[in-house]
Amino acid sequence: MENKNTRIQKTFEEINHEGRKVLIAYITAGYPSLESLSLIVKALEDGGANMVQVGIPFLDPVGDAPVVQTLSKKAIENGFTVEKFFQSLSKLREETTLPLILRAYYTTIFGYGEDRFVQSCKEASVDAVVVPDLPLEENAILKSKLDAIDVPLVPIVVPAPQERIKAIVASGGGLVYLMMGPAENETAFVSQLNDFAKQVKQITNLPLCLGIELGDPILAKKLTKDADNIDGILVGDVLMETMQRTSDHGEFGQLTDELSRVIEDFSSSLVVRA
Amino acid sequence: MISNEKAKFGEFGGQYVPEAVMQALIELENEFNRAKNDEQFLEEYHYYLREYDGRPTPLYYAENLTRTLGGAKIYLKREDLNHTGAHKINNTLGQVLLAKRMGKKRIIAETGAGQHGVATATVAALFGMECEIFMGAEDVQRQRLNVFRMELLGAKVRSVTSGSSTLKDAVNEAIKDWVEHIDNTFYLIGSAVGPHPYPLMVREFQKVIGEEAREQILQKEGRLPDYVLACVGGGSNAIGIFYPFVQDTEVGLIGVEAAGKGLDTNKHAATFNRGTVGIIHGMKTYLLQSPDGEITEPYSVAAGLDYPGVGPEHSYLKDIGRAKYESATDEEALAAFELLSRVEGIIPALESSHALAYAVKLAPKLSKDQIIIVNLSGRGDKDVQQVAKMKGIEEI
Repeated sequence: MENKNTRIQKTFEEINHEGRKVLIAYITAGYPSLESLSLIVKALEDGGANMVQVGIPFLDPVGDAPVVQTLSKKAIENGFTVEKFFQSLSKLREETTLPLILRAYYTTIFGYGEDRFVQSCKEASVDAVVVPDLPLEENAILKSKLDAIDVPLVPIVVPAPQERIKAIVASGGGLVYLMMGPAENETAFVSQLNDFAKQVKQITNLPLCLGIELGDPILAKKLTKDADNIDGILVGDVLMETMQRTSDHGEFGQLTDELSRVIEDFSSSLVVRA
Repeated sequence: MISNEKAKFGEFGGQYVPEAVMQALIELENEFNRAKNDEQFLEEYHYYLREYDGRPTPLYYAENLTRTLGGAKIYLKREDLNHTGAHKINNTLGQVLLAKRMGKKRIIAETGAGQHGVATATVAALFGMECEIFMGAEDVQRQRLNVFRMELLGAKVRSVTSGSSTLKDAVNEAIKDWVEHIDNTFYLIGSAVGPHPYPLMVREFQKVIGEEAREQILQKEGRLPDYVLACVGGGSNAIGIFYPFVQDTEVGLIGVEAAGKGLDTNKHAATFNRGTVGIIHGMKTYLLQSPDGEITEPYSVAAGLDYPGVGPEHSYLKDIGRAKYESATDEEALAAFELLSRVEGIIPALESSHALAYAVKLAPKLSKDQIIIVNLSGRGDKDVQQVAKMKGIEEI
């Protein structure tokens, strides 16, 4: 699929053109409360995030770090529902111009109802949807429904035979998340990742984003310098750990300040050329 | 429209897993497809079933039970006589041989009460493989004897503290571990659940139960039974005995799930009687869930039945009307547990007691020339302490 999604496409073009990598900030919604979502996103935007990925809380997130499970559990205990979430998301859409990527497990989508989910995505003007537990083999139905409202399903690829990667990328749009297992050391990781990205670049024009968590800005910097085939990075766990730490012990204002600061550390590491 | 048809039973089953897991599943499926048609592999599997496990298990005519209930003739498929005391080992033997064939050196598995963990640790010991069992922290506390058993067999038990620290979390952690160590690790799932090809593979390794039972009843009675009964948690013993009878439409197939404290309480594991279709552990199937698709905790006196989902092939058999799914409460199962112990001198597992409990209801309604086969999936030695405690007898 061509990259129909102008908001995501424009962001990658503009930021990459400035010699920077796109920074996607990922958080789970509903923590510390659903009402705080707008303020959290604003803090991330202030800190330099170029896009925001919002996850719907899910108790068994097999494709995520433990912190996502912890925050999800608290959100659900506090009365989170998918219906209320979409109301907050629509409100958020009015308050920010950043591209919004929605991350949801298929379990949640199926439980909520696929048609209803797609309709809610449309109403909230979501820019793309990523579903970590919906591989190529199972994504045809949801994809056709999302196609009808021009919202791309973001492909996730791991090192695999070229043919499979090709088929996965062809089934989605917006951007491509690359996932990869750990390497011996950071240098090896960055170089293996760059090679993998190069392989994917040969078959798509979609922007490539590192879909695994970057724990620290130093690695982000290294990646910016040495992985020229990567167009963007995702920062999530470290943000959510910050949220958990500060909200357990402090004021909400402190939480947003901390988030801005953490994302700024990453943001300032992503400049390729001054 | 049904996508990914090869991985499905009707609309059920499938592969709802992250892409990294798909890589592992594709490798597994390819090897399984080669193995199941490989004479040498099947010969080795049947060699161990015979020489190590003790198959074939008898199909025993329970004359006393039949007389007591005063109706249909009851036969028991004696899976309790397998090595390690339950049908579980049919599957673990099959999968460990597949792991060996794939050159894997490490076996991981999830376990709830520990039965599958023990069956896995057993075959890992037999084939000299490293073995790690993922078990919810709460279950580790509750099942200390099985933890020790696994350790005795050389396995390492990893206590899982994420989520609700129960079986479903043990599965999640095992999947994560598998993806991280895919090069040397084989994930051995214990029931006919999970993403494709597991439900199919577990059925292939459990269908020996039904194949034997079908042949044995034809030999003894010269005809097929009227009913085949089995308890259903994930459903591996049930699919194992049902599958070879599916084409025999005159044979009624009845799965019995755990009604716990009652279907109208929130303490049961009655996936079919109270659940809805959703996604769990990589498959589409009936499950106990909230309106947003969050899994709700199941309950049963029988640890092997308190699984919130059910094997996808059972969901299919239910929807096409080929099998029926009834339920038995804790109380009914306990009564059947005591009854069989007393009249036949066989102490059944609490899981299997649910199938027996339904036989107790069904048999008197049938005529004396009708036949019921009950899959006695496991022995009850493991449950004796728990039953004593429930009866108020301390200090055993």
